[in-house]
Amino acid sequence: MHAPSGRCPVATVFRLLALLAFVVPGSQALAVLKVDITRGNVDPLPIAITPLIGDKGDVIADRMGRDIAGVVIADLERSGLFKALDPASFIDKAPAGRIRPRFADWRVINAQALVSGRADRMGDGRVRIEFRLWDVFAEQQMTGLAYTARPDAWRRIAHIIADAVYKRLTGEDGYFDSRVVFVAESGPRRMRIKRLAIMDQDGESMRYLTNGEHLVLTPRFSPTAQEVTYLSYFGGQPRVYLYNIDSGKQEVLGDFPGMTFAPRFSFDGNKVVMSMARDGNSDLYSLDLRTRVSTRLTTHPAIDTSPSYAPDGEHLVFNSDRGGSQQLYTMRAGGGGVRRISFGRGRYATPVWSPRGDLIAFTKIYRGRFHIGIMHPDGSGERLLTESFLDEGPT
Amino acid sequence: MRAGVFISALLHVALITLAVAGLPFSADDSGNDNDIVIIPVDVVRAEDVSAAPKIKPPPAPRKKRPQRRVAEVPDALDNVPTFDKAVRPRARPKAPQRRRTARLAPRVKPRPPSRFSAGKIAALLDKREREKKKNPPPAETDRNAKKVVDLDAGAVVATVNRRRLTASLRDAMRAQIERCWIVPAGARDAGALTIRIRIFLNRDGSLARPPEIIDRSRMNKAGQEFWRAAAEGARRAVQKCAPLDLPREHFDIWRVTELTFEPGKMLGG
Repeated sequence: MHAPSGRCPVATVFRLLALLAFVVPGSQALAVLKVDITRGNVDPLPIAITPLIGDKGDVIADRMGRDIAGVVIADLERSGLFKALDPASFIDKAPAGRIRPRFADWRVINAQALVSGRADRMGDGRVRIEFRLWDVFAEQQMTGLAYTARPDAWRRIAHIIADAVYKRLTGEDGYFDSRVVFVAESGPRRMRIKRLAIMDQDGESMRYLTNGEHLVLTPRFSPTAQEVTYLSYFGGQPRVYLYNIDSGKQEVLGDFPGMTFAPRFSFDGNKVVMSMARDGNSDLYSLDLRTRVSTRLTTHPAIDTSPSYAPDGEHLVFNSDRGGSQQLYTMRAGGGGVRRISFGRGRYATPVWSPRGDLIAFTKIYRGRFHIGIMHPDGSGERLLTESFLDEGPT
Repeated sequence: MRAGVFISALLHVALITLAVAGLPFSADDSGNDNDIVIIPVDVVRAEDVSAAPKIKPPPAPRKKRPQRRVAEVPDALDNVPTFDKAVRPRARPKAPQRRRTARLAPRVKPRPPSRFSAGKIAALLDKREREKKKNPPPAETDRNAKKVVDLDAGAVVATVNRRRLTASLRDAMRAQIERCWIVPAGARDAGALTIRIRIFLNRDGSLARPPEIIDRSRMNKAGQEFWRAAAEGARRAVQKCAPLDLPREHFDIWRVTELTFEPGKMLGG
């Protein structure tokens, strides 16, 4: 068996195969079962929000902490995506007092997230608010922030906390630290007084901006500045005005020869697009707020009105009857490229482009009933969301 | 020369150690769906046997006879219902002694093909006889046991059983986790969201470690907030649902599971 060269071929083969034997058992692939989950529940997320606690014995701070928690609970529940658990069911009453909450206590009551925090009054009269958002199952902190402010700003801080919780748990930017500008009507039927008013999005802290002497309509908030654009009948002439909330100053927007109405800001806050009516024809105009230069956007003899910019500022959607009936059209922001996007039965009005850019909301009038609907910017996927005698003007 | 002898002896020892200690250990692995399982010997209706092409099982490793010699083992075929007479004659090859030996081997679950030279050479020599030796009754019965008439179809039925078992395990797991998952309904592009999570379970269905989100780098990237929120929601669903209620005897199949959450399928994209 031994070759003259001194190497035994069979032994060599033996050795090689034996080496392979070492290699093979270790290279077994792990069997992994694969499962697709394609259904679940569309339910609000159960979240436990505990009152922010202050120093021991500080009743005022404790009350502020409770109020802040109350506002956060109300904000999150109103969004429809969260369900705040009843404080009576909490086992661990003071999680902020510990370094880490006892997560098992929160799992037992089915909380998936926990908000806890502190409210401390500082020596100079300000308050320091801090909060933490915990993932109860992963037993980790998800986010935490601290603020120092004047005591009367506690509502705003509560809204900011709600925004942070909302954004962390859903991925979407919160809208709780925002205000609504609207027209407040009051008075008897024959002498209605309409005033421009502003309030927090939860209805608190309302105040009037105008005194009701002149009719005001369709106010719109600037996305970047504390300014409101609206239509006013000041001096008997309907015109678009710009109102600065902080200073209270009002000014006419643009020097147009005719009546201007239906104003809207662009998403970057630099332009206002509106409709001007002259000699029976309405066309769209845009005004650059920085240069105060106005640009005519449409020249069609039909009525063009209710313009709304897209979030990217490249397009806008508007309402026109150039096709014979009231329908929706999109066009390029600089003018031109008009495309019709609504083709259903009935009349379409007051289109609004969503801030995410993926949908356009509108009012549809069909057979005497009003509907609010949405569609994709190319006109597809039209869905009606409401139906009633008087739903209109989504914004 | 002495060095050569020494090395050769060392490798022999290693080989023998592997044969004794290595194989049973590697035989405990669960293997994959294509491995052939133990064949129960019962009668099956014709329609239960699929028309799939017959799958030849890999050659069973041939042990070194001295190690595997066993005492008298009762012929397990005696326990087969008597109407199975057609089976018995065919199942008995010329050498009863060898059949008994091989019958003990199937007590352990599916084995990978052996790489030993002895086994390789023997496998090349006599494949058909080895198949017949595998067909006699096993020690373990499958949960969905079917009865076999034709011995070659036994291999096919075993594969079908295993696939049915895996499918039913998937359904069980899916049903439990779907109950606990809150779908991120308001997310942008919910239709395009896909989250894959790998879970490691103990025998009682509880989590052995925290679930692993595959593609973790997306968790901290800017612009991926929707995905992160959805991934955490999926992870919470698993943590909420644990311990899962799954059959212990098939622990090897579901020990490591990869779940793919697709909210788009439910929300219509």
